[in-house]
Amino acid sequence: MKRKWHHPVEEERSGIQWRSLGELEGSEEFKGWLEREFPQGAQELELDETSRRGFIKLMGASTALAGFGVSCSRPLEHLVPYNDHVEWIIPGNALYYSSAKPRLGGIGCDPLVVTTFEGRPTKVDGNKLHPSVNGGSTAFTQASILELYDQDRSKGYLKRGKGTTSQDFEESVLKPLRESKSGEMLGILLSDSTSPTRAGLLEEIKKAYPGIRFFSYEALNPAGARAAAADLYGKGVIPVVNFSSAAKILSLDCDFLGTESVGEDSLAEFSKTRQPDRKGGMSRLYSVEPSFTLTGGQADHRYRISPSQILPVAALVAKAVGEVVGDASLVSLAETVTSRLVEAVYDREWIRECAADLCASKGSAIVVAGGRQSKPVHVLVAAVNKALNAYGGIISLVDHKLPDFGSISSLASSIEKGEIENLIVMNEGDVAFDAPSNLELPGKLKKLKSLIHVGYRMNETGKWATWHVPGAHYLESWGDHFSLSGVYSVQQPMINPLWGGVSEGCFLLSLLQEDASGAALLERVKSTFAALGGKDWTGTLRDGFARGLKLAAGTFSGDPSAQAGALAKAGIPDFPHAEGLEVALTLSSSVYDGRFVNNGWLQEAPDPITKLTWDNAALISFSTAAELGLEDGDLVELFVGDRKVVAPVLRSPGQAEFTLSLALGYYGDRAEGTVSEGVGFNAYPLASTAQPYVVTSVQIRKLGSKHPLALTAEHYSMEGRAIAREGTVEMLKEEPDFAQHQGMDHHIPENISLYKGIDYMEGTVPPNPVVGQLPGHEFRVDPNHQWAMTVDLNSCTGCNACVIACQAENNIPIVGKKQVMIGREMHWIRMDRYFTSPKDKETVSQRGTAWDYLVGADSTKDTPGRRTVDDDHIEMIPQPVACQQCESAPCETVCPVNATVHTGDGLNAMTYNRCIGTRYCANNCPYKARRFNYYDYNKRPLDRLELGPLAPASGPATTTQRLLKNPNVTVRMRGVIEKCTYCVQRINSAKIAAKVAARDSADIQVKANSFTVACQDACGAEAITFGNLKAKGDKIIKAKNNSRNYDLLKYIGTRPRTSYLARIKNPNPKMPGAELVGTVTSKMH
Amino acid sequence: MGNIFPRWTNLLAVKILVCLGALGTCVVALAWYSFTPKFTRVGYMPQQPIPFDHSLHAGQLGMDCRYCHTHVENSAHSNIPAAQVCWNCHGPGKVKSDSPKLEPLRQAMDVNSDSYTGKPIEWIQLHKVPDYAHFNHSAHVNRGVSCVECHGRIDEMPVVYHAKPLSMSWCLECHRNPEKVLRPLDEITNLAWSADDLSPEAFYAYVAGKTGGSADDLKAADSGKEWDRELIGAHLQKAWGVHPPQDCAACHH
Repeated sequence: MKRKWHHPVEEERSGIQWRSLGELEGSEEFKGWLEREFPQGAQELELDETSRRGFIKLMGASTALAGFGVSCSRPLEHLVPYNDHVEWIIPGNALYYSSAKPRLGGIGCDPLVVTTFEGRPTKVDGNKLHPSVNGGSTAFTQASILELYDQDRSKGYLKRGKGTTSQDFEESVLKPLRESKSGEMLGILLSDSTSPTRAGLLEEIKKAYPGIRFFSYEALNPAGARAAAADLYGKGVIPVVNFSSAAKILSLDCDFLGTESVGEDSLAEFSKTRQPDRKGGMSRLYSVEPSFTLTGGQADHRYRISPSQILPVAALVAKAVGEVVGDASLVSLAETVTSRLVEAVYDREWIRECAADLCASKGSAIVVAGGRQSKPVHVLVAAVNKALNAYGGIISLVDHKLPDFGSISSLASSIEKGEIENLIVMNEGDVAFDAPSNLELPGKLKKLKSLIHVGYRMNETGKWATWHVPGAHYLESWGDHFSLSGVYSVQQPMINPLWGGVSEGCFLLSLLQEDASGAALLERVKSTFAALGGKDWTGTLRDGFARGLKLAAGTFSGDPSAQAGALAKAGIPDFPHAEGLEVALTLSSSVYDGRFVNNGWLQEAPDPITKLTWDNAALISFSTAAELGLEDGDLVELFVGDRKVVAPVLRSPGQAEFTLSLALGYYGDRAEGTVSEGVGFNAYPLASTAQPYVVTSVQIRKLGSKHPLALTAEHYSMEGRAIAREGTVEMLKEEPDFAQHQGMDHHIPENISLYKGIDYMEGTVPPNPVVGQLPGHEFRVDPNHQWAMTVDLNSCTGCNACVIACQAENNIPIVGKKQVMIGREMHWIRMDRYFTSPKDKETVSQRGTAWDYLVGADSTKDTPGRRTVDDDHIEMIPQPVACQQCESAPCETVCPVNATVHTGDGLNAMTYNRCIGTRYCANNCPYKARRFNYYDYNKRPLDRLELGPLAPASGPATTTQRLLKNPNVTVRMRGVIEKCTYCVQRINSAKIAAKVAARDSADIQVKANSFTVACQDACGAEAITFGNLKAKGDKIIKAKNNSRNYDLLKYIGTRPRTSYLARIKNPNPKMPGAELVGTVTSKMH
Repeated sequence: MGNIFPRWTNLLAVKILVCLGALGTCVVALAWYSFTPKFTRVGYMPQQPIPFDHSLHAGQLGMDCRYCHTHVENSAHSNIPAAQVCWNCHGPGKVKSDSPKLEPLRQAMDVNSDSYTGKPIEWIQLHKVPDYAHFNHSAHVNRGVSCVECHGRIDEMPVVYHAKPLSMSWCLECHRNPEKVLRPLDEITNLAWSADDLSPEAFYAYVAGKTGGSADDLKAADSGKEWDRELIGAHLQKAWGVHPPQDCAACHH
């Protein structure tokens, strides 16, 4: 569009927004990313061992060989129908089944709908029918389907590392065991579970084998929360939080929007409370945490503090709440801790105002504490919640009757004492790898007479095992679960075990009877269902849950003050300082506790906060890094006594001082999988039984070498333009459409072009005065369908579920760390994450670090302007950016072969088979939404990509992973551009279904809201709305009319079909720094 | 003054011409070839494991296509029937159950046979569009496009052969002019159907019912026009709102 463009004079900014430190500081490397559309390695061929000349030789040879090897006739292909047709299957159509996946950590389940094609499961999504969840899913759930087809999973029985058969195992182990009927010296290590069938099997085993002992362990279990719950609410009772009615929330180191499970579907419940037009107003979230989490990114007010100091903060909050509501017992309970504190080092104003705000919404306010926090914190939090009347409304207590298993410490000591000589390990995770290091479990496992490992893959535990039994995936086994809030849900298998794996249920059954087949387990599940009073098994199977079959929920009537004695004894660690650092061991967004370490989708998904792929790193604050003389990628050794780990450091905004956050679960050098080999650094050696997640008094030593980190934050930069926009509730009230005037959009001049372009809504196509058209070849606008999308930044947390869902739906390959480092990641959705902070010199924190205060150092007051950013007022805004489907798309005009053209229903289509790979389109895309296949990522091993066609065909194309492919999406080859097409395969299916239904009528419009696209399906927060602008009553029309709606880079006139709804913050005006919240982008150009 | 051009240039023009000519011939030959039926496999007639005679089953016996190709109306694929479907009529003691031609069927289905393997029959794929083109049968047969338009007179083929090119330009011909191939929905599997089989009176009444006009007016407007497929198709296209997509993304995604 032709415009007279006068670029506004850049005033001095009062706020800044950035994606990486390089961008913030204007580093040379960042400029390199900015100036070259396809960064290094794109223009010249970078080959590791072969020179350019060698490459030409290879190419010549392969071209010559190609001439001989290929004949001209088409390959003969066969059509192989079933002998007996399988019920329900229609070849070519997807079949959907409900199922359930045990939730990570074992408590509750994630209800699912699984897409299958001719018996192959290809995608999992949330079950929208299930009463307690919203139908979204997480990145872990989305990627769990890849685990099923993992080429490295365990494929057979092993006896001392050598292959054997299931008959051998049956004859030499199971049969003698069943006949002995003795459980003396026998132990079973399990995960927690809410499966009633499993509970029944364990009871029977206990009866059949007197003396048998059960233990449970998972590295990331919230032990403190569980212990507090057992004391306060009774054994086996779990508190379940429902945020739907919450108005004020305080999170103490609890990432409930991310990886922690405190309720059935916290993300969905919370995001509904964040709508500005919600009755009773938007909710407000306070967060206290050491490093940014998804929850902290959504918070209106954030207080960064090391995790060991959460107990004092919780006590101060409890005291303040007790004083406001007049609860003397709460005050005296809190004083058992606060009396031992130097209160001045905490942000007392922050805590006081936060507590006052919570009390102002008594009945709809709640405090949640993180799983890694100790029992005293959870006791204090329970006391505060009681004072705030949160029980009964927001928190309900569900009696899951969890059995009382022995802990990992008691297992270690039992082996030590010789009380356990035979052990069956069947918990999730890898106990020889992830157990607390002071237990020295690997050495103890060696002492056992026999160790039977039932596992999904050969891991560290498997290596010690006398017998290894291949495990089954959850999509291969029958089961049942009570969801967190107690809804009976069925786990239905989708496929027979691919490699003869044995599920947990089948293995337990084999301890009781010879017939331990899947069918026998199904009978067990059915009889459990009947015993619980369930009716209509078929209907339950169809829905995935039983209507009316639910555990009772109670409320809290106990008295947390009874725990005062224990609280008085709780130790309060020192504030961390340069000589005694603190390490917060965190849950990895990629590998969880280590179980997803061989999952390429998760490894390559950039961490939501750091944008780090294929690695973990010790996150460190700017000023701590400066003080310790560390830069990004510097390898350091962190040690306490003889417990030590090596890891690279990475500076991260909003990180607590002298506190390093390091993700657990990476195997580093110990990994052997195709994907996991050499990835990351093992952090488990730092964990001990006394300090499982928060390690204090840690020393640091710089090793002097660097580790390359594959960070995607600087890739595809938007050059600092205000594209992620936010405001406050006040701004929204004053000017509802404020987002449309932020940044450059404030200066859009009038469009003076005579050419008006195609009007898709009216259906008018102006004649082209220059190029004539052949009759019959005219561009036709679809009068029934015009697709569009909105993304609500208010709900989006940046969790990556959509990124992985898109990868699963659209057959997007992974490219490996080396390729990511040179900017070639293939994700169609780029999950941008911006940090914003007010400019330092006006607002620098008036407090020095707490340690300075305690030791009376001079630097108690900071010098303004010293820091690059003010860590205390940083905010985070995630923004998923995919192809914007521009109505006048710059990419289309430059394609020399018309491989990317517009469709009549408003899509920017991509015809892969026509693309010749000039990459002009990607150069011309202002949103940087197009991806190029530099290599055959789908077909070649990632470490030998450079060899091109000479590399052996392997990877997803030849292993079991090809079974995972979506048959409705072309698998792209080398040399082809690809990008988001609004899941055009789903659009086409919906249109065809409408036509099939129409038969001989003209009613061929797809019904409004009748189908979804993959990212929308996966989004638990319902941030993504997709639909048809032409269909009456479609949700998209309402979303587009929202006053917060704005286009990205509107002033360049691309008329994108995807638009964004600005993020709204709800600051408490009385809080310190409230005037800075949510205001940064409104001041940007 | 010596010669400006050295001696070797004498034949240069001829050499260039010969090379250009050879190049031109190659280009023409390649283009020519790609327009021939050979390139589009028209006439391709492979030997199937069982010489199933469509002219007998669909032609003489008059079996409907959908008796075997059961999912054609519901799926993108028109399925090859399961062996059980053949077994319904050719099972033990039924039609021609001992025929040696049915040996692969007995191998797949007859548990009492010595040659039973249980392995499904491997039919040779005849009609195939490339993997990057997503053709959908249900979208066509439910909207007035008969089997015969793409597959030819299967009911007259003792051995099925590739009758039409199935190339992209051939697809687009119909997508641009759908009126040439549309027919009433109850005649979809009647491969021998022609315009003369349709009574104009009944047809105009049907169209009037769909469009809300009057049958007599429609007929009057058509007076003088020839009663043929194109006329019928044009009315159906209008009445059903048939707008076949011509966007690349309709088939390529």
